[in-house]
Amino acid sequence: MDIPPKTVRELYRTMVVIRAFEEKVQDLYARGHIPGLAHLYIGEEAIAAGVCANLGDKDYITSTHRGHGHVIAKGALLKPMMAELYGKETGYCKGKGGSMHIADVNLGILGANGIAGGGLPIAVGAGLSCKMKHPGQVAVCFFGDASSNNGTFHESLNFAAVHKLPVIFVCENNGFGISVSQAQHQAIIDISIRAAGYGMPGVTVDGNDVMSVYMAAGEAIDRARKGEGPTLLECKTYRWRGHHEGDPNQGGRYRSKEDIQAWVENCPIKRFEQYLTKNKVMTKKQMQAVWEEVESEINESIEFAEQSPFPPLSEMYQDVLA
Amino acid sequence: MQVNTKSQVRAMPAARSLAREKGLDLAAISGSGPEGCILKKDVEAYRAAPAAAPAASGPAKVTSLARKLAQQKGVDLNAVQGSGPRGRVTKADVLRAAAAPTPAGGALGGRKVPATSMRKTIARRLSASAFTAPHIYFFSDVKMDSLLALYKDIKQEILERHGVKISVNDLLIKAVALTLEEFPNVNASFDGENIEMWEDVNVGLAVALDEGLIVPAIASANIASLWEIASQRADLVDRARDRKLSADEIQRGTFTISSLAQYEITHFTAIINPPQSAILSVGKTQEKVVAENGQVVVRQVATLGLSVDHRIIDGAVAAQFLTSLKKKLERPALMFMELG
Amino acid sequence: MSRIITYAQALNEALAYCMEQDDSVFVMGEDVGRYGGIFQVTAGLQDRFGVDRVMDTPISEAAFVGGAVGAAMTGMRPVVEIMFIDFITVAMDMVVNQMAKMHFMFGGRAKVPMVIRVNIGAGRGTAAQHSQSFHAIFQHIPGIKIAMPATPHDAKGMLIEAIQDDNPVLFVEHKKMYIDKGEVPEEAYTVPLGKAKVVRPGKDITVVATLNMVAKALTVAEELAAQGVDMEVIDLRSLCPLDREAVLTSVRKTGTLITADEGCHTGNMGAELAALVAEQALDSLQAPIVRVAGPDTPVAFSPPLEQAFIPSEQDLKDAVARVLEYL
Repeated sequence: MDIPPKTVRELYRTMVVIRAFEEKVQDLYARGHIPGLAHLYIGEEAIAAGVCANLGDKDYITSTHRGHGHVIAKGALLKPMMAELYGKETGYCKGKGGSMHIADVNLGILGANGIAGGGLPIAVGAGLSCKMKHPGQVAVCFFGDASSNNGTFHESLNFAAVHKLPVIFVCENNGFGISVSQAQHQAIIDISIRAAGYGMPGVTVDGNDVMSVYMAAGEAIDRARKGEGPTLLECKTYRWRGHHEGDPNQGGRYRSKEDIQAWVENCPIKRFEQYLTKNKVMTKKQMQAVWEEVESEINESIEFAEQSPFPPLSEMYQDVLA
Repeated sequence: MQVNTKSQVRAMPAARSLAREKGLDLAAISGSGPEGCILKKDVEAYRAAPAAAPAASGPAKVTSLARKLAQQKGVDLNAVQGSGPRGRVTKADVLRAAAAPTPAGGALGGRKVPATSMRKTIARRLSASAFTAPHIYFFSDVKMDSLLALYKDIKQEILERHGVKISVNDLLIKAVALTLEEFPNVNASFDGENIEMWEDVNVGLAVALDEGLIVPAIASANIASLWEIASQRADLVDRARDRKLSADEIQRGTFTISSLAQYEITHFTAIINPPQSAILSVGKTQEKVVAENGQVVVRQVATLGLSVDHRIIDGAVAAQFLTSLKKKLERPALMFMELG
Repeated sequence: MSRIITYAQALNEALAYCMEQDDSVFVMGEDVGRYGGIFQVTAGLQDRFGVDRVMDTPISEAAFVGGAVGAAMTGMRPVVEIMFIDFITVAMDMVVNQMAKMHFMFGGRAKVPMVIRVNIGAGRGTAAQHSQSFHAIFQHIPGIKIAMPATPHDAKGMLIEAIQDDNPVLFVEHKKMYIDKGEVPEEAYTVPLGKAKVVRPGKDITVVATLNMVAKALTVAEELAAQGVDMEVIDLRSLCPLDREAVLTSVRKTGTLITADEGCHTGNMGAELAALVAEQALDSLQAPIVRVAGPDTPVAFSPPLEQAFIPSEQDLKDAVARVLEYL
């Protein structure tokens, strides 16, 4: 695989940051430090990392309710992210968006979205901008298997295809829409076959193999940058925890312990560590150092969030209209 | 104190706020809007002109009693033949006309007159009082001789010194006010939860208008001098008749005296004027044969009636009140001494 | 220099001006390109500015309204045409949960400078799903400006203003007014959003009207002036921002309020004005507030029934008569 070592190390670090961050959030949430809802990305890190490693600051992404991974991979800073989860004034959205609405338009992050399928048309719009004003820039849309049934999926893919927009539709197929399994919500197995219905290429990859994701995404993004239009990229993966924190037994109501365990063993980070070790790209010690450094950065972000004030009540009336 | 008129009378908001601004009682204003609603212009016009003469005004030569009776009975005075001196229409004439079968109309005949907003307000308030406050009644025959003698004695002097003509009622008002001071529970109001004992003693005097009773109150009658009471009383009664009372002059009353002494009424029961808790009825002072120390004598006797709200005034208290009042009236000298 | 043109032409001029001045402005909608829009508002624009800037979209309201949101967030100024306001329901999530929320949810760091043009109103036999006037619903969603120009002059000025505004603007037109004629300056100009206009001052009765009801109110006012009733007619022009002061000032002056808007009676924009007056100017009211509005029914197809739906000059006169009973 001819991925430059620097990129490989970045891929690894990104996945570690996401994993450590999410595990920390899980803990803080359990202890009641974070209000609201938390939808954790644990187990799916390879997709966000692999796709976003191909993107620059000026490229756009739209994300989902399960968006911490995408946002981190796109370059969001941990302090304002954590502060936003805490609902503090220093958060990315002044505390007014919360976990599901983290955004930094300057980094091309057009927001996590609380509506299933809500980000697809927005990504299409960003693609329109790119085509009209910033050729060479692309928009990536992350969405889940369940959202592929939503009207917006069909409208957006069709629209992007007929207008040849530089949009990469990344479907994170983790096999469930909350508690409803893929077999129960659609009649197909590979979502990528839907691409044919709209006139664009469709690709399926192992979503837990960060390098496959990186390569496939890279190809699609290249095509888009060249003005060759959109692609549907399906990444098969699994979320280790429930739909949200509070989903009993990590989704145990609708998933068996065995299934969960099997996917835990298929951990994208563990697999990548094996690859890195085997190919002598990184030593165990170097990998350990990454974990430690990341851990400390995350702790700093927690301290930052905890020390930050809540927004004043007057903030409620700000930003309704520009 | 606040009499609750706000929800009962239909008036447009602008009319309401103008009335409030001018201190007018909406109950006294006639509404010309749809369904008798009081409009802003009705309030504007109210101040400008005194109330029009009552509907059944009839010919000039009608005794005032006959006029009142005609209105009550819905008799058209223009159609009544006067049998009094020089063709004056008398009470008897009106009664005769009322008894006569009417030429037109249904099975029972008669006339339908829409009730004025004032009458409707009176109806509503008195119903509320009668059906909410359990009334108990007490009567006492009072020998008025001493009081009448006192009255005769001082009236000229007060007229000369203060230019005010006092009446026997003024002495009664004073006596009542002093007695109310002794019985704070009677000078009080009950809202179902709390008993509010008023600090001021403002004694109201019921004044009969064609449209109904109106009760202006003499302020601080317990502290005011006799000539001040007389002066207030005369002014209030005059203005009541001209419908020029302010809302406060009516709403400030803490007790009411209702007198039918000018009629052949020995005694009567009155309905308490809400939110007050008691009312005094005064019958005609008449010569009566009474026994005194085993002797038969003739005295001027008036029967006073006291109605009280039994929720907060018990029989003993009412009895004590009436007894204390009687004592003052029969021995006016007591009014000038501090007697418990 | 002013001349007489139609409401549709005035809108066309506004679009052309803005597209010329700013290449981030583009138009999207069904049949807006080659066909020029079903009411001809975008006629000639595709020839002038090209297929990329005047885009015919598939029948995918969610995609192109949402697409407008994404484009607006990333540096463009899209002007979306929704063929009839009735169709906006297909894109409701994009309007309510995305367009109206982004600026707030993202702490002010994202802007959504876009315009959605719609038309309301019955009277062209288009029946229940193409004749509604439920624009008041959007007044209930914070984050959306709502413009309602009642004349060709205001149409041009307010559309230019709306396109230049950094907020999402729902631009509400009336399908029967596209052929109305009026004086419109040749040059570009703006008319502010959020400012009502007293189009006929008066001292007896206040009428606050929108779109087609403004002209009806003026006609009734002239007729009644001859009978000694002096009506004040206010063209509301925007539902958001709402010019509360203009309404309250007039009501305090006349002691009355009649509202006139083609939406259904319940939840009509007049209901909000009535509540406003009850909260802030109750003491001034000399008469009941009357809402002149459509009935609480869908619009029937049959012509006499359709006509009966549309609030008429007679309805206005009846409202005035009712108010006069109290003056």
